[in-house]
Amino acid sequence: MKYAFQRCCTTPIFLKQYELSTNAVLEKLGVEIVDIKDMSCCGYPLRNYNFKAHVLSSARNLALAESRGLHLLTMCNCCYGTLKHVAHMLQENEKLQEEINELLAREQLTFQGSIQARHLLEVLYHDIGLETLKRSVVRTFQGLKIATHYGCHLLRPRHIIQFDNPFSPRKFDQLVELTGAESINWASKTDCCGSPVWGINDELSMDLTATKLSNAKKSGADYLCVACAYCQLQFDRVQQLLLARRTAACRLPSILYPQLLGMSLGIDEKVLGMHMNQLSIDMAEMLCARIGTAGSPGPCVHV
Amino acid sequence: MEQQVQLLPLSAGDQLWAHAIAMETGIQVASCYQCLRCTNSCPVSTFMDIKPHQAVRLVQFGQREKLLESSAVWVCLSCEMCSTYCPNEIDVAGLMNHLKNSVISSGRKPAEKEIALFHEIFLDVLHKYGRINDLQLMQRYKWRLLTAGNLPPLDEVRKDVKLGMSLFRRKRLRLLPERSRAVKEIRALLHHYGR
Ligand code: SF4
Ligand code: SF4
Repeated sequence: MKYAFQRCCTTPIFLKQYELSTNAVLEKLGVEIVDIKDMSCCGYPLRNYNFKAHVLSSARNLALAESRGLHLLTMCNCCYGTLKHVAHMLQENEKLQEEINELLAREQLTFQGSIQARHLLEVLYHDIGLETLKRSVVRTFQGLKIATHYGCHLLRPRHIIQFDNPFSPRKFDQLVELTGAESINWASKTDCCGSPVWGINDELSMDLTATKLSNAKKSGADYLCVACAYCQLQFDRVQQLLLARRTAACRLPSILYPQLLGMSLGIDEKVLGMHMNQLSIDMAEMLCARIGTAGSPGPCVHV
Repeated sequence: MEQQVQLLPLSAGDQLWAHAIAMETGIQVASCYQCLRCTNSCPVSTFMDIKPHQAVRLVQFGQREKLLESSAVWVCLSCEMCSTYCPNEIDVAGLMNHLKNSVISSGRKPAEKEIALFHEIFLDVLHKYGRINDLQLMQRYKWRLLTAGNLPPLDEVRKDVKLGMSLFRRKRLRLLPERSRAVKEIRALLHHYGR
């Protein structure tokens, strides 16, 4: 299995551990990724500003992957949503496709729509498959309660994304459960994390995050688990600020899905960049069974 | 409490607006029957001066000015809840996006000027490096706010500095921006759309 890699702009600077853990997990599973150095921003931030420029930006990256005959893999929900949305628009709108292709021709590129944008979770769930993943698991997290956080653009808009049911999704939960952890039910699992207004209206952004954190905590979660660069920044970096600024804030660290899966596959936590998370995660507690007396970790379970 | 939106008299140009939007984006506001599912599913509608269903209504009525002046479009998270819940498959989030684009392209001052500034700087950075660098982005943003006379409270600055230091210690802050190898090509393409 081989994919072109759409790198998110945010990860190399603020979330190196997302790239590290993704690389490590994919390598372990025998998936090859090609980093095309000519790729640019997916165009997500441009769509609020200049619609056509945002379409062009995404189309160009899609065309670059297409020129190599590879599907485009991304681990960021915003990149994923944008690439899928743009591919959809270009296929629906011949005039727009023509206009964009004329511009892409300057670089000898063309968008034909023969390849797709795939999210990391989609690749794991559909291309590799739950059964294969389960067979690769060497350590399980018995008794650990995880609140999965899907992120907006992994589910919506439904007719374009089509990864899972946008109202009651299950696939991310299944991916978490194959590590032996329990995926809990909680009310705001599909709501926005608040990241889009961070830096614009910080109070509103923190309010949205704080509500989600307390909701997940009340539902019994030990940790949050995300598969989006912006969601993780919000739950890791912004949560730390929130804890510093507000007295009543509750603490609920967030782990990136490839970090969780990586540990389950037996990959070293250093390689997964666990130490780079702002809110530290207690490894012993995660890996060990928490059945029995609350608070005291039980024996590690090896499969 | 339902907020009342006062309607202005229609001009001929306004009446054609809904049609123009449909032509450009495929969004058919005419099929909205004001069920309010979009607004009820919206996580930030309480912070909006014009609610999502009212925005759709105002497009039906051709009330362009009211919408382009509202802060609601800038509060919108683009989370797509509204579009997903709409029984008539009206892309309300897409409409919000289209409105943002219209504010910018018509040269208006957005109701939330800090937001527009943020986007503008985002584009500048993209233009320069082909990819986005958050540090550059935040620095420029804060700098522009400062020079515009918006002094943040001192303890906020202190907290930002502390966060920066902690990120740096954890090797989470790159001081040099990442460049795309194709920055020239990207610049040329953006230039085509007026940047
Ligand atoms: S959900 Fe759709 S039909 Fe209902 S008010 Fe909103 S836009 Fe109109
Ligand atoms: S996309 Fe905007 S208007 Fe629609 S639900 Fe989300 S925040 Fe509300």
